[in-house]
Amino acid sequence: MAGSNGDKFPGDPEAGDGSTSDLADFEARLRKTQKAYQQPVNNAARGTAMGIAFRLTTELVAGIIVGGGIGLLLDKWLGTGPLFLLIFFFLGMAAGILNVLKTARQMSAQAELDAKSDNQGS
Amino acid sequence: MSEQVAAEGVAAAAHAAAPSGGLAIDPMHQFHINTIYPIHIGGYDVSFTNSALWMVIVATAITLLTISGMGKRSLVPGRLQSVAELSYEFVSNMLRDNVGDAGKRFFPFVFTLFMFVLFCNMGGMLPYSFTVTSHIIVTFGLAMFIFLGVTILGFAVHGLHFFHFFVPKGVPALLLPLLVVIEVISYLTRPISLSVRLFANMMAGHTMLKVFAGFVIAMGWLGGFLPLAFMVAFTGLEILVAFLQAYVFAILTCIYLNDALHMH
Repeated sequence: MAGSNGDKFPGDPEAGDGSTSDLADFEARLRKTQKAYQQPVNNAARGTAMGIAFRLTTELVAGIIVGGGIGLLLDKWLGTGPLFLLIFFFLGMAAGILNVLKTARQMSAQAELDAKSDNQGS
Repeated sequence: MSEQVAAEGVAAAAHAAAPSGGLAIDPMHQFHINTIYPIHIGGYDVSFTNSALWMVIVATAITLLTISGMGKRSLVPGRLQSVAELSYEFVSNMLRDNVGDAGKRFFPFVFTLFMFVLFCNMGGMLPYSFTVTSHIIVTFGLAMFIFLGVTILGFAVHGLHFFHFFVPKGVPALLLPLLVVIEVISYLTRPISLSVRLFANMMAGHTMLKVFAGFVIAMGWLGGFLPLAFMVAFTGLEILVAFLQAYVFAILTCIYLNDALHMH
């Protein structure tokens, strides 16, 4: 379709020069409006980008906190310097990364599911 | 003239927000726990605080909504009945999608949890209210309850076989001890990430709101409209976040229940 034509127009919608381009312009504007109308609904269902970022960050940080906590407790209990703190800090980091991967996988699966149901619905 | 008014406004607001006499507006003042009725049992302070008051208000509101909403049981639902039915269907769909038919037994638990968190978050959006979920001990208590409950459920359903949950499939025996430890730590992070996410979202959002409200007063009649406009938009976002975080909390509970029941 007249994609290049439609791209020019949103800046100045009154600059129509012919009936055919008017029609194309109308199509493009209609698409744009429809898209603008649809996107917020999808975003609200899936969570904002900030929400996703926040979820992944907490997963990572929680892993480090729990790993470090276990290490500190073991050190206190066994009296072995910073040995277990160091070991479990890195294990906790690995667990955090594992959590992030799991969450991301689950998020993309959910997004695929949403996309499928969107296609079926409309 | 307007500057004078603004300066007076700042002073008055600062005085109202921080009675201790600081000039700055304290955005953290909203999170203070105030004792309403002091109770001490066996050396423990179990006083009735503003946090407890809001929990009671939230629980009462949910009870009223569900009981009075479903009181008529009309075939064509009214407004209240619609809300009650919608929230029922929302949670029951969530359970069916994530846990399957085995999740039906846990509907009362997940419904209560979702409604409690949702109403706490939404109640925090009311002016002069207290946000119960902005305290980590509250969200951590909820998350720990879920975590322990789900773990006990897993052992009750699968017995010692539940330990296989921590053993990833298709891994060389040499790496197995390391990966099992990582999986166990990953499992233990669940209550932390669950509680920190809800608490941090609520606290950060409400602090932002108060900080920008402070800007409105500090910038006076001329400059104050910009932060005010931002605040209107941000309040809308906060309401979305309040719903979304309750949703995330409930859906993660469903996912954990599913793990305990079906062990992937």
